[in-house]
Amino acid sequence: MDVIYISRTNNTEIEEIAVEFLSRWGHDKNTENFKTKLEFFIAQIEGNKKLENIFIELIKRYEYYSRKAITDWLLEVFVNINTNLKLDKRRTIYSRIEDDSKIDSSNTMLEEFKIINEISNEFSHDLADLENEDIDNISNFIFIDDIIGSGNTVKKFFELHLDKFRKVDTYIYCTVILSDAKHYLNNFFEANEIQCVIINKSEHQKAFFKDYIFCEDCLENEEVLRVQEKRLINNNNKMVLGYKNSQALVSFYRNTPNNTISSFWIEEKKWKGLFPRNKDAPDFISKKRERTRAAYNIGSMAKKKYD
Amino acid sequence: MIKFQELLILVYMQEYQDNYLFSEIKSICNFSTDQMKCFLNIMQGKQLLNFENNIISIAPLGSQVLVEKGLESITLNDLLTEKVTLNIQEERLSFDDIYIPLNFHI
Repeated sequence: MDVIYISRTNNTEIEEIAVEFLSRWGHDKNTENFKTKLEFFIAQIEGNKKLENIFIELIKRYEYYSRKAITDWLLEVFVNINTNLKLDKRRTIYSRIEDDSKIDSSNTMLEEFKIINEISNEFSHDLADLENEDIDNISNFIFIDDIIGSGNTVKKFFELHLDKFRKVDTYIYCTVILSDAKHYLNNFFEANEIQCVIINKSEHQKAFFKDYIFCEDCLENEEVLRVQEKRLINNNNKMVLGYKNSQALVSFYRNTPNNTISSFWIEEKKWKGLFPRNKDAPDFISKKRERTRAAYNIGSMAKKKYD
Repeated sequence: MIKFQELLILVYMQEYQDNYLFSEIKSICNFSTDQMKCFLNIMQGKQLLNFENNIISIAPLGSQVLVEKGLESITLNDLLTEKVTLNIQEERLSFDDIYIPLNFHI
């Protein structure tokens, strides 16, 4: 028997939100049938009008970055480096903020940035591979990342290479940064005598920061959603309202960061997030040895036809 | 004649659409960056791919090729599955056929 979820929220309101969302963020594979996905997402909260209203307001402030949006941003970054910063190309190195997680988003962004802007691999190195003598010939490090959520990954990375960072100027370009993280990192840079500028496309407060989305009822709404998420994720407190309470509201075309409020990305038996998260790299990336089969298989599977 | 790398890229673009990554296209064909760019340009010239507003997408001719080859429903993960053929071939392989020796690894 098919189960039909009846949303308590007016369908016209959901349609308006969906139309407005798509007009801001564009149409792509992930936002296909967005109105239907949004209706389903809201219908999951059946019976709790308060929670429904909270989600509606959060969705109105949600940011989604399509392939096109990221491509345009990466092109803008390169223009900014050349026309505003006017850095010496021969003494500027592009690198990645190394991360222990399986999804190395900084590396992915860096690769796309280099290809789109035709930057040679000669100007891109992991910091660990650079000797002190190399640093004498470098004036600038540039890092490209999608989101800085808590700032902890950046801080840990900088702590590993403090001596190198103290000798150069550093620029971190990121699509999104959370305000607390920006403040945290700027304090860290100052305390450690590091010249580093963070240049972000978008800066977010935490979703329940007073007067950001909600006013007098922000704490009450935060608690309502916190209780809901604790039930959803079996008291895994680290992820309640996003990793370490980041309370971000953002997704990218290839993934939703775990800084985003968990309800938007968690997939459980009784819950489907609006922008589910991909935990792993695709098999064809992780299974390198099996890639050789792809070439053989495509030849044998393709119909032989005179062409 | 369609090359197997072109088919791989078409299958990838069909599956991933506007969620593609250049790094993944490089990876599936084992290309360097320059090789990939050159190849994508050639595919654009053959009207297998479109380039519009800095975004690539599969062109109608590219989709048609996949249909003609019976690959319109294939995913990349399908291609990773080992397929063992034990049929004895009556005819010799032609130069156009792909032959990879047993236990050969790159």
